[in-house]
Amino acid sequence: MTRSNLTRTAVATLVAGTLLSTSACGLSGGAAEVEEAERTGKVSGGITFRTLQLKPAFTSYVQGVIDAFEEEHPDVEVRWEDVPGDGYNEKLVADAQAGALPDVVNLSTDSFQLLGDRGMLADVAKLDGALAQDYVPGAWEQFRLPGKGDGVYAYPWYVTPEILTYNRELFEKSGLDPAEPPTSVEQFFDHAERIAAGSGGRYAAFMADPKGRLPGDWQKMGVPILNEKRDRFTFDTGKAVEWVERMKDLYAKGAMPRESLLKSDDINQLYGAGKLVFGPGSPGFVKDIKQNAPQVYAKTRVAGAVTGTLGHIGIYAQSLGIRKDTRHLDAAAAFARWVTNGPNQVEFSRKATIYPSNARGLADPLFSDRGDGKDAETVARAVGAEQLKSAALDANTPVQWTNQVGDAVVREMQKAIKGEQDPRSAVKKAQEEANRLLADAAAQ
Amino acid sequence: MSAVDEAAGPKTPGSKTPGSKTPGSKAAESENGRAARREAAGRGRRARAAMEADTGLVHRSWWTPYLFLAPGLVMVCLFSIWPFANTVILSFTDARILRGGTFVGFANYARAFADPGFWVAAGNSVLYLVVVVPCLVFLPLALAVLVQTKIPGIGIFRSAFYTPVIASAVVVGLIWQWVLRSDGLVNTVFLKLSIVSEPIPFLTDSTMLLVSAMIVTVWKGLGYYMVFYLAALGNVPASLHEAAAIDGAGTVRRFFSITVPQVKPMMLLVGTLSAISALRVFTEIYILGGESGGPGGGARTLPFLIRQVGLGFAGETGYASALSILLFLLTLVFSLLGRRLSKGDET
Amino acid sequence: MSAPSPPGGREPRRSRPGRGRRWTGLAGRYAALLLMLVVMLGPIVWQFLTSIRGRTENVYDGMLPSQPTLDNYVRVAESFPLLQYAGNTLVVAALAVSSNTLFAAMGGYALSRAAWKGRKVVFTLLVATLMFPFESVMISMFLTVREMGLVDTLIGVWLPGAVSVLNVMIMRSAFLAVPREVEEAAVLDGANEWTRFARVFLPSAKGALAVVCLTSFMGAWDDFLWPLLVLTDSDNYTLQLGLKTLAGATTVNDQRLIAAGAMAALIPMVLLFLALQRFFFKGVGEGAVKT
Repeated sequence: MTRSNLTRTAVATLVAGTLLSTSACGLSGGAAEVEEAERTGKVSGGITFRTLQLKPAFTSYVQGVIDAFEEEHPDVEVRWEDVPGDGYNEKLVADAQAGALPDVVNLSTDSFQLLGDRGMLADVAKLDGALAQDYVPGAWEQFRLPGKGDGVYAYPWYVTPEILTYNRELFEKSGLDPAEPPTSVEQFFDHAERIAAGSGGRYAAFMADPKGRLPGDWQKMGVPILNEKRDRFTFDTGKAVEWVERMKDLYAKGAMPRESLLKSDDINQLYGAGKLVFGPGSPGFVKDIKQNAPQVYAKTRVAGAVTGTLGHIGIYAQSLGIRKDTRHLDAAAAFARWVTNGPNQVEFSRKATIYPSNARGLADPLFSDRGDGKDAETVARAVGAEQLKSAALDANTPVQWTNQVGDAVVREMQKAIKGEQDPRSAVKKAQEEANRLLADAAAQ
Repeated sequence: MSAVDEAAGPKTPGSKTPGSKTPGSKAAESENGRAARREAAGRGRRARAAMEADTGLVHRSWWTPYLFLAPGLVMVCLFSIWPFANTVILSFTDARILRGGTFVGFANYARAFADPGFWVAAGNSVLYLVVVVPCLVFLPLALAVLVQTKIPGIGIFRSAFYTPVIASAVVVGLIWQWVLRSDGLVNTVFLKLSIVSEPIPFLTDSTMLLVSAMIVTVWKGLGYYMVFYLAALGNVPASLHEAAAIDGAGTVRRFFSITVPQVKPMMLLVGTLSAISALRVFTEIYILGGESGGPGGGARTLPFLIRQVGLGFAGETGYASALSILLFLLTLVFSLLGRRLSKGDET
Repeated sequence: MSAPSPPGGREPRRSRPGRGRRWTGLAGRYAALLLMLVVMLGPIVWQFLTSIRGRTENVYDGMLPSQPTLDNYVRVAESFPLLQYAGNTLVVAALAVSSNTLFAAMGGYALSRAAWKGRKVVFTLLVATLMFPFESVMISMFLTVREMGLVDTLIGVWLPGAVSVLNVMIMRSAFLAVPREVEEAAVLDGANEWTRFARVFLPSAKGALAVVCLTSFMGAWDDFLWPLLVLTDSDNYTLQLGLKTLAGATTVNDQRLIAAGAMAALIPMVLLFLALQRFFFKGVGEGAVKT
């Protein structure tokens, strides 16, 4: 009996032990230090190219770009993988962890910052220093990283500028002139107040959405978000408190849907049902509303984004990163350059609601055509392009304002806007929490 | 009537392995004459006796159970235990996403205990469990009883009740928002009927948001656990109900005196499963309360906190791992507590 | 809104004498069923209505479609290889259903019918694994599957869910209800362990097996994040991955199309449920009577 007990235990341990050791593949949360690839001067080899949700809508465009490249460089074979937007980042992180990033990969602002910071992207300034002048101002500089010198870690690809969209009919009902949309945050709030006063609760002016409004609104009001060394948040100012007080007041007056304080993913729904005056600020939305709510599209007007004291919008470019330890650096770089060049980007923006980050591309007549000034989609394209020409990085959300910082700030704002917390102490607490998070991240 | 059911049991093998009829029927016959109600109680006891089957006629080699369990254990070791061991180790480091960490001892745990947000989240998780589990143990059972009878079109109803389980989270969120918004269905009706003078803040107040999320959880769980109970109800002999009905027991009484004791093992399973999923609730709060988890994050649960901390590009893998371990320990405590409460009913 | 009154209370008193009573009972039951139908069916109805709206209709407003059309379904079928993706999903689902029914039944059998040392430990361990949050084990799982060389294969999609602990527990609970006499009878017949398992226990747990079939099929059919991590070549995509390509960051989201896609994915699940629901009741008693 004792003997067989012993055997049982032994067998069980053995089985468990074998299982654990066979599945052993690195007990760690980090990835190994990445070796830098060498240039060989030969554009050849097989590379993988990952895009964010371009299939099936743009299959023929992307395949066309790839085919043309392969024709020019017969020694290169491009394998295209398209990944849906939902879960794109999770997959990227899993692949990075496994050391299996694609050679050329489409990155959004935050995934660029992560992979770049972890040293997984090649410095493209070193590969193509002269290329900078090809891009619209800010687009190239956007891909520098704090603490990484003059390196640029991705090729700028397409951009989507911020615009202002609104319902003309509801504007008029509120006694506002559709030809004179607000240009500053304060004016925007004034408009909202007029709208709330006359709506009788049937429609709201705008989505509260503090997560989406900050820190943009503060920047447009002239609030300094960071100190000069960019290592501490400094937004605790009278202006910021004023913003909270205005929001609180407007919220109480019903200028925003009550639930929009928490989430704004039903914005298309509300705008499309005529229950919201200001729609989302992207040209893509105009196309969306045309598709899903044609009647409301006919009443939709487009203008330049509210920019306040800044006077210009920020620039958020999608980019193509090159895996730092790619086996075919020359081919990968040549291909990324090819995809982001002027003609290919213009061609792309004819098919999708996007804008070229390439200066020559943006100069294409397509982007200055306003048509008869009545079709919202056409006007949106022209307005967006016009704004992009003066866009600058100082209007962007600073790198230090991470998602976690945003969440922490928003929590305090929500309490204040609902009237559960005094605006002054809300801003103060938000800054303290934000600085704590910033210090934590810097400590490592 | 009860004997028919009992005797029928052994016929199953009988049809395939000839000769088994006699002893099986004998065993069943010994049950003959017992009152239906006593049989109901006896069933549980017999089930327990089966656990100790090795002492009786049934003999097995010691390795047989391992052999039967092997495929499951291999999978569990590869895809649960191993990753979990990894999580335990990471919880003692300051690792961030895509960056290995250094050993920091219990710092992550200390940080959690010092964070008021953690205690709010833990409290919310426990509250969620305490409210949702009883609802999910009893309501789906009642629903299963309702759809159990064979009346025309019942298959359609059963399938319809299951659809919330397979509906996409986005659509579920949209519909419930439409119902619960301040200008939504419920508030519009209540205001019209003057039941309330101000819209009920279903989605904009932290506590109400938790309640709304619980409603959605229960609503989704109804169909899901209904299926579990349907399978268990198949084991309840109709004779029991008939005997009790002749004794004059009403519907409600029969539900509690016959149905409930008969499906008790399944109720325990459903209780365990719903407790685990209640402690892991994230989606319902996210689709109703947005990414901040209610105003000021007041409706966040532990899994919500874990995602906020661990996912995304500032992801603090180490801290999130520590929170995962704490959530695991909390789940463990409650499942042991649940066992205590239902002591002697199973295993 | 939420808590429907316990339908148990409205159960018809079927055994009570009196015809009128029976009719009111039946009517009451249908009334309760219809009430629940309204409560439970909301999202699907909404999705269906959106999916049949005409192109010029406002999808954000109004209740009933004014220009109903099936055109959106045709467009879904044209916009991605629906059948190919559905085929891939079916492969994974078929693997998942077979492995889960067999291995979960075996596991449940070992945990319910045998008294062996370590049973409690193993059982507790299994329950514990249900408590690990998926996100915290996701990356490790991915690395393991990668190590096994199963990235970008349907096998890799299937493997982690090949035997779910949940299903093991369902089967265990079902086998616990099988009377000991039944087992002893089989032993007297000289049936060995495997025969007893396959010929005695499996047939008497048909209801639970149907539930296992259902949960494992649904799991495979509905899963999104895991297949996304494992698969890269879009030829291997499962249906849920394919559906995500209908809604995207750079494309215009046509809500009618998205709704039609979601409906198309739902239909097989509802059909499977309709087909399986008769079996849910085949427990010890009924299953045996029929055989």
